Amino acid sequence: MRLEKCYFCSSTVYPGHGTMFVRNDSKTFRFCRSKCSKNYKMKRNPRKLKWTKAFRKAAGKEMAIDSTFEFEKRRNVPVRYNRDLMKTTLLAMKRVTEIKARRERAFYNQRMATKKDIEHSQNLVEIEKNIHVIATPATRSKLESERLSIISKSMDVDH
Amino acid sequence: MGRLRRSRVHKGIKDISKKYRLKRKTKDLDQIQADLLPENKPKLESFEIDPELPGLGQFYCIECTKHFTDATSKLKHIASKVHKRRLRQLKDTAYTQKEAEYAAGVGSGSSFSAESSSLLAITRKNKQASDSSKMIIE
Repeated sequence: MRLEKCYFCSSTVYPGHGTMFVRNDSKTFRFCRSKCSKNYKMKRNPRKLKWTKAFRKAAGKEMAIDSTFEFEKRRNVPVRYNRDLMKTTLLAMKRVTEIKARRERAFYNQRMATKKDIEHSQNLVEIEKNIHVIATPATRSKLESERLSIISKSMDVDH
Repeated sequence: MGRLRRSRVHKGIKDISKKYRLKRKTKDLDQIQADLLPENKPKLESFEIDPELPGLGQFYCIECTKHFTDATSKLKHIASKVHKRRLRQLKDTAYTQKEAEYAAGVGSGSSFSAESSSLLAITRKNKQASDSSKMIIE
């Protein structure tokens, strides 16, 4: 039994599921569901759609480079059944998924660490741009004077 | 009202259902990139005279896989936004099944060189950009 990966969203395609498209140059494309196949036919780029794995990895949302990815591979040479080998493989699979999950969690935490600062600076920019929406003339002049004082302070620090 | 109903459901939206059809499927970006290679390009630049095609098949745009009726319309097309957009799309390396598998976490690093996996290159580029922006914030 071979579990294929969807051409579009990179999810696993189990036997009996999804569709396969064979292009006139005999290249095959597997799709997990009609959503993916339709998007392919519309010539959309998977790298630019936020719901695909390709986007998430390219945009740095998920761990892309790691040694735990080395274990799952397309192997075209069949392995003769061996009870001991099977036993160790199953043990290894469990261990590798454990390690992978831990690293992914660490990656996520690292990615989120700077989120607060970035959001804060973005909010400040937004407020400054759209101050006319929230402020009355009196508060606006107050804010303006505050801003000026901050600028002059920072200038003093520089000198 | 049975007759009208049939054309007014989602299935009746013609431009979208035509989009999904494979009957008029044009070449994918990776096929066009293969066409643009120096060994394939001359074959497509000099088409044999074919009365079935627009302009006897003599005015063909390789990037957009389209035949034109005469030289002026082809020139007009080359100056157009559609053609320029296509040129921009062709600059990127084409998306492949290999990249889809890589994104799913099947193999990495050693099995993909930097050239074959554009995803790796893009990830690195994005990472550099975000790192530099972080530096600016700090």
